[in-house]
Amino acid sequence: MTDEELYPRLTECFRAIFDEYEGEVGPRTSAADIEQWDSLANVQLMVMIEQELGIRFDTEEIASLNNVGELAELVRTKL
Amino acid sequence: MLPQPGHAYEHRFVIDQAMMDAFAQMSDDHSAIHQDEDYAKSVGYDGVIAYGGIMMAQLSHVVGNHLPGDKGVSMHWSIDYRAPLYVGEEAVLRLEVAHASEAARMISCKFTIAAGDRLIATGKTQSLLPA
Repeated sequence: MTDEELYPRLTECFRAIFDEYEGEVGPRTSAADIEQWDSLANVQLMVMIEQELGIRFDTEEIASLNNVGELAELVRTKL
Repeated sequence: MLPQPGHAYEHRFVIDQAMMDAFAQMSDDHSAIHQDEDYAKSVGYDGVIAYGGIMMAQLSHVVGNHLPGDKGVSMHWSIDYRAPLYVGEEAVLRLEVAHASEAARMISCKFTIAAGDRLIATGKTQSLLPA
């Protein structure tokens, strides 16, 4: 899946979870950019991405992510 | 291991007048549609409509006691009301696991509330479970 295909799908998940965030969702976007992105919202985000893309994360993988670019790379390994 | 997709629990319940009175007092919601039989009939219903909050209380019973049970922490509930449930009418709430994330220790569920062949409400829940 290309970036052009993957990022819109990730962005849909971000929009659903972070309904107050209207900025760009790009590779460098991180929790520092989105006020609502706390640990509980992160759990909901990961679950939504699992459901939307039909993949499964491991606990360690979730904990190691620093930004959307790393998330996209991880997702790509599972598609 | 988390409850897996397809795992479901059904809860049969009836909202009676005592529950309506208790909820009216607790919520201080005195809407005519929930309390005034003549008014409810005048706008096309068969009688007063049960409070949606009492249906959510039935959901609380299922989530807290059965799926996932007393160790879960609710993260999300949503409900769409689709048809009126009347006082004294038997209904069935069916909660089913739609997704289980071992990584997040979270189950996502969908539920329906039905009275006979009438769909009263649909909704979703998410619950965290300790490792």
